[in-house]
Amino acid sequence: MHFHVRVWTLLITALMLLSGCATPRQESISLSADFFKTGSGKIGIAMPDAPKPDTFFPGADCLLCIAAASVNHRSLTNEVQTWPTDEFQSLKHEIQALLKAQGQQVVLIDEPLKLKDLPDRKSAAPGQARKDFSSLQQRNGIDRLLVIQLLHSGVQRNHSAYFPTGPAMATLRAEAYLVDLPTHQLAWHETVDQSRNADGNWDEGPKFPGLTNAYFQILELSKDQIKKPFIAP
Amino acid sequence: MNTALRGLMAGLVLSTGAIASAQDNRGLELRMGEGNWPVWRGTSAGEASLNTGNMMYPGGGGLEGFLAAVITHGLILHSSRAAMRNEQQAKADQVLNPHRSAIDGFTPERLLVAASEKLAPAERQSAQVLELRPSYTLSADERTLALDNAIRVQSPQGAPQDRIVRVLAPPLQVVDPSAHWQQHQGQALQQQAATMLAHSIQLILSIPAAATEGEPTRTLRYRTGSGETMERGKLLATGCDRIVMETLRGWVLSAPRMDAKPEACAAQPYAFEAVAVTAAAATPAPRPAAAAADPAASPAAPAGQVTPPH
Repeated sequence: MHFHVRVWTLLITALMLLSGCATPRQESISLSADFFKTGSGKIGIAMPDAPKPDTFFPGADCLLCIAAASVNHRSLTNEVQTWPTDEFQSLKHEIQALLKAQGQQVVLIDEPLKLKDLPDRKSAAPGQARKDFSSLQQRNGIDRLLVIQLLHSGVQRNHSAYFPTGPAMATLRAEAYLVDLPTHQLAWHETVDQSRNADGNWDEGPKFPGLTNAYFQILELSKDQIKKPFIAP
Repeated sequence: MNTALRGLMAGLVLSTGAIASAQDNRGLELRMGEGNWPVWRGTSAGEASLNTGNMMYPGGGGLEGFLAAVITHGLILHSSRAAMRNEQQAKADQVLNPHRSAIDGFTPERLLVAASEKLAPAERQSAQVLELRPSYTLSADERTLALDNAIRVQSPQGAPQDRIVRVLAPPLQVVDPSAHWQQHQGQALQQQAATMLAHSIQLILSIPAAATEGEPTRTLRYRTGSGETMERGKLLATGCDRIVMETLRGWVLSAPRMDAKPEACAAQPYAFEAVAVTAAAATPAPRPAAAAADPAASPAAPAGQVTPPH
């Protein structure tokens, strides 16, 4: 039963990733150098719940291939799914401190941001938010909103049909952007795409210390990348 | 030459390499493990992205033909990755070429004696036998030397323990690192190697295995040649320019601190003081009974010894 659920989950994930490709990717937008001098009003910080870390097998692209990869990496998957994401989620507190150090008024939005519940902005031009955050503006009395979202994390192992073509590696993808709420224009947008190999052998079940270490390394690097524009010069 | 060093040299000359010395209180015994000579290598480029293209399986041949194609595919992938790894390592090892004479001239005996001279008298009094398997890695820019030392620890009481210590030297802040290592016929490289070996021994003598059992892990940052890196683990000790941790693999890692000013710590770059010690960690390393009571009370006993490789 568990095995079937796993296979279907992988197929659905693959479909979601493919359908995601249909939406044009938002290019990076740098935070303007005088943002903290010219900007006024309160900045809200919100984060959706983080998805649980998992394993991914790109290239295992037939039903039997997915099943074989899933079975072969069952022990790894069990371990990866225990990895915490709370250190990533603590980013909102760390950025709150950085913004305050720059003299900004910050509103920390504690409840998880439910992006799916927000209306789409179908006419959004490139460089604009694709979700309508107006309700958050009214509810929290904010003028700008910083959204930080962990999209997926865990371990990826590339396959060629039935066979792995390389070692398993830790992977993390996240997105962060700052929205000017009256206009929904993006003042900053950053996509984080980190992956890293284990130092030395990766296949050290049941705890996989090399991969676990690589996961926490990219988690920290991702946080650094997102925090960078908010660090006072 | 002080008394301790004379004892040490006597140990080097006289020792037969018998593990029995752990039971007869002759002081710390050091010897090289299997293979005798330390390993020296260059830092290999990432072995990871060794991907090959997708393979189409033949449709004909029935189940046997399909299985043969699948097995062949697996063998091709395995052998191509191994060949690429060997090629990368051979290329990385070329960084050692200017230092060959210094490395080849630094025999295991000389390395052990040089490392032993850097130990404190109390450390030489330890009743343990340490079998060392050091492996040195020089970075491609020659600024960072790393030591991986697999150590078998035999105490008078208890079974042998296998531990691994990784030591990263402070990154060289000189214009020409290669010239720096070659100074005085390579003595700079040899002395750094000996200092790192001594530091790995000191860590094993002062930090017991499982010293941080039950404590949470955290991501700790340290300095490398080109910037900073991080490792998940438990903090064991800190010093002016040192951070010592237990990694997730259970290894001891000693590296330069991120927040240190290297020039302020130049005199003692490897000094450390244990933190977060448990009751077990607070217990000093076992010492010979007579020496523990009064180190000066047993002048006849060698202060430490080095067993030549055999």
